[in-house]
Amino acid sequence: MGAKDFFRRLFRLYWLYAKMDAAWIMRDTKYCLIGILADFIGNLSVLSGVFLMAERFGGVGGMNSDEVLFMLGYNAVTTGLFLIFVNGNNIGNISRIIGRGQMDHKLIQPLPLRLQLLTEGFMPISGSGQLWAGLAVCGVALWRLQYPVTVGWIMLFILSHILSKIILLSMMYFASSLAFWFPVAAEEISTDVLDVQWHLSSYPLGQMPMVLKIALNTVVPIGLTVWLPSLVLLGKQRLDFGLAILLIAAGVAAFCATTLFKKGLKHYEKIGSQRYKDWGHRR
Amino acid sequence: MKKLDRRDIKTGDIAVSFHGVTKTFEQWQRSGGIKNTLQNLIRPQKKTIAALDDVSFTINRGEFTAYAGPNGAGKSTTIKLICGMLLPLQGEISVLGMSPAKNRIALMKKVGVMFGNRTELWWDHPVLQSFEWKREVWDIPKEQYKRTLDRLVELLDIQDILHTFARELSLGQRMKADLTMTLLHAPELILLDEPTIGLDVLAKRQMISFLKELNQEKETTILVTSHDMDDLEQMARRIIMVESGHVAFDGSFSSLRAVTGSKCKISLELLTDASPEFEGAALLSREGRRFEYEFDMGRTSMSAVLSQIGAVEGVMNVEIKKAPIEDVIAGLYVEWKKQ
Repeated sequence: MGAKDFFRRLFRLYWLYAKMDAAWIMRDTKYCLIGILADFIGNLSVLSGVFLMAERFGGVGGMNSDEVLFMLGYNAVTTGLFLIFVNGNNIGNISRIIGRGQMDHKLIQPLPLRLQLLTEGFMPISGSGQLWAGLAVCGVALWRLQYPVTVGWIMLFILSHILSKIILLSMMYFASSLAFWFPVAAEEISTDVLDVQWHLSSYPLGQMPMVLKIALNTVVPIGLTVWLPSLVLLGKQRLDFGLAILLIAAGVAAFCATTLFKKGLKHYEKIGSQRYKDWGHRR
Repeated sequence: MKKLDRRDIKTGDIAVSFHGVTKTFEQWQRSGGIKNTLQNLIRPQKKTIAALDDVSFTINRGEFTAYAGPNGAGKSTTIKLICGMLLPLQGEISVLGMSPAKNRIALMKKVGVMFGNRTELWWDHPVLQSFEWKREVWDIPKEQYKRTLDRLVELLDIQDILHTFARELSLGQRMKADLTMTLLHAPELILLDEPTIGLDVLAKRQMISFLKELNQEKETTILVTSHDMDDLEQMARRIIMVESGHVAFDGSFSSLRAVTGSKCKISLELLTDASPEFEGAALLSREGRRFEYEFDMGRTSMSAVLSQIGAVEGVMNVEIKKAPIEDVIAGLYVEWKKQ
């Protein structure tokens, strides 16, 4: 498939999944309104915990309460983008698809696998609550910080989110690839990775012990998905250094995840799946 | 069992070709004891199973072929190899002139696959939405899609369920919707794995007659697997039987009966209680004055048996039944197990 055809199919598929997402959430007025409201309240409550702590102690981990608020907003935007682009149909939780033997459904589609993985999880309406909440929190934090927002800064904000998403997804796909070899044991491993991300990424790592800080920026690079980008965006970390770290980390993480995933797929093509569970398939 | 020449099967372009295909799997072996568990920790014990062992066959375009065998014989493995979901350990596979391993995407535009125990439908969407999804993903031109859908909706009688959510369909309705989805891109080759599983008599009959019509009218190549041999005999003209990874039989259903011995059953209703004996026939059961015998038409002719029956006094009723194909196959499976 040539580049032109690839992008034509990509956008048509995004449009298709957007329509399906809209049809799904709008199937019933009551369900739709309750869903949106519950999503919004849930998202705000997730953000409030660390912020209240920062307010009480006048800051956490080397960041003042407004900076912590910005970081929480950034985290919510990262999670929001994850929810919008890959949360549908377990595309983010790919270990479920692999572990349940559902890759067969992917292999019978006349599409490159990367195109399927890029588009099938797209849910721009039902998954957008966290993104809007995150952007609002970021806006409030920047206003309280009186931080000058320029076009260049907005571009940097977008770029850092792309890199954060690459790192997060790479972590999930790297761990999920284990399900090719251990389908039962690793079926839910992507959920565990996501839980670690959601629980740890809200905390500023500034005053943590060095060993922990290094571990959380290398072995399990949670710090690179929210904490470091927030420091760069708030001018608390040198731009060239921070950006270089993020670019290298995203490149290395993507390379490792792609390599292991391809190796796992070869293994899957060799031995197939010894189990099949229909749970979660297009539900 | 000796393989038969398929002289009764029409020849033409080849749709599926397997040449010396071998596919093995490894199975973990555990006894469950502590010693064995510790041994496995250091050196895991694995057993190699040959799902397909040097298998060769061809299926011509337009053929309707049944693919049968006992559990674990390698039926689903074969379908997955044809689709490119699995790669063979050895041998060559060609499907519609393409290699499934190298041309999976191009091939999937021409092949329709349906697994009876799985669904491709979108659970929380109306059936029609699943069809629209298929149109986009398979990149089916709108005109062709509309024409094919209209025809399939009419033939499979699914107008009433088009706007129903997939999760609310009965099994029979779900299978029809899945079959429609499989056929929407007008595939040249259709692979059906247990398409009649769980269907009631009427739904099964509709499904079978539709598939036969499709094969005859459009000359679509169909490969179907099932454990229901009567269904297979109604649908297909040719049967390939696999056993322990080998092709044990390849030919028509009538040839299969001839090879396995054409068992025939005769029920007699008599006026007397005594059960008569016939040369070449064995008494299977008796119920009051009703007696059931079995004989092999390959060894004793029908006329010889009938003339013996004619000599018996007080015959009220005679009923002759060919052994169902299920019985023929069951006999074969037992024979294979013994070997």
